[in-house]
Amino acid sequence: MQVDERWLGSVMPLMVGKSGYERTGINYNFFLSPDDILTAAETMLAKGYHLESIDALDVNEGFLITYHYSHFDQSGRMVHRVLVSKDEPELPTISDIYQGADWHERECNDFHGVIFSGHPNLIPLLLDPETPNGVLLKDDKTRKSLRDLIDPGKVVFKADDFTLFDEAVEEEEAETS
Amino acid sequence: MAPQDLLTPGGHKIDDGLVHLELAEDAMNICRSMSLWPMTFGLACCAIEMMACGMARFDMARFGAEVFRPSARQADLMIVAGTVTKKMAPAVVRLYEQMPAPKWVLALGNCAISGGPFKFKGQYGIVEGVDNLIPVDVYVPGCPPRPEALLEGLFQIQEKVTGKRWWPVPEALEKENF
Repeated sequence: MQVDERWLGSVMPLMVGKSGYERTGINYNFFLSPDDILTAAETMLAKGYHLESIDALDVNEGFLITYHYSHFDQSGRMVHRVLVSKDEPELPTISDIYQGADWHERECNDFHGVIFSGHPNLIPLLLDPETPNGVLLKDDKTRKSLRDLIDPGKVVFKADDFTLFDEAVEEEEAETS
Repeated sequence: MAPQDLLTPGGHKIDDGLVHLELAEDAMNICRSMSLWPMTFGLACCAIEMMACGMARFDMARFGAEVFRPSARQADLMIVAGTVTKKMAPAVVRLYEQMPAPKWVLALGNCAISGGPFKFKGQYGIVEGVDNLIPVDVYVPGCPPRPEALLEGLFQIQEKVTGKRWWPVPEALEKENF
């Protein structure tokens, strides 16, 4: 399967990385901007992918929200990653595209306090109503940088203004050359 | 919210009657202790041991406690079998309040006693011991306890109800404690 920056149709990713499936279980990483997440989800639905999970990661740069997509008939786990800021952790909900996203988004809201705007029922899923949101947030000592946690894989495409993984990429290129 | 707040104050004991008929009451208590009706109510893995206890191999029926009632209104023994989460706490308290007195509570397993393995710094979801919510009569430790331990807990409840131990103590136990 040919995957490049045009694979998601009208959505232009910030970066596409080909990941090692044997090592990570992921075929391709798509780093997207928060505005594109709805269109990207619609494209995935049209391509026949299903949503496996949504999770949030508390890192120095903000929250990394990860959408895992997979396909029943062909191999290839596609992962959409979005970075949202700590001050305004808000993303549009995709629960009107993938109904199954409803509970995943509520879980992210429980544990990390990420707000999914437009969600029909954003109340605690797993926690009791009186526990404040964001119980799994890290403290400053244990919080790590995104680059230490996520391996973006071999870069297929990178937008010019996307600098998050720059250092890592340069190192990799140095190794391969 | 302090967990204790959930329980309605008072109203969980029977006051002594105006007329005391000791013999009749003793007889009544023996009847009660020999036909304890536990509630069908499991919160986590300890409930599996509780089920094993009700089945043929360990057979709680031998001691009169096999009639697991699916309604709190008909039960007089609450076996808290498993982890009590904060989300579950109001339901546990409500079930306890729905049971008619006289009623007894048995905390089965480490989670119900103290939070067990889920008690650690920074935990956010667990009630650390069901005795924070409702009064507990007998604690049965273990993770999970063996069915024999639950049976022993049942004997302790019977002893508490009647003031007498009704069943022989196992030899190994006798050397240790009794």
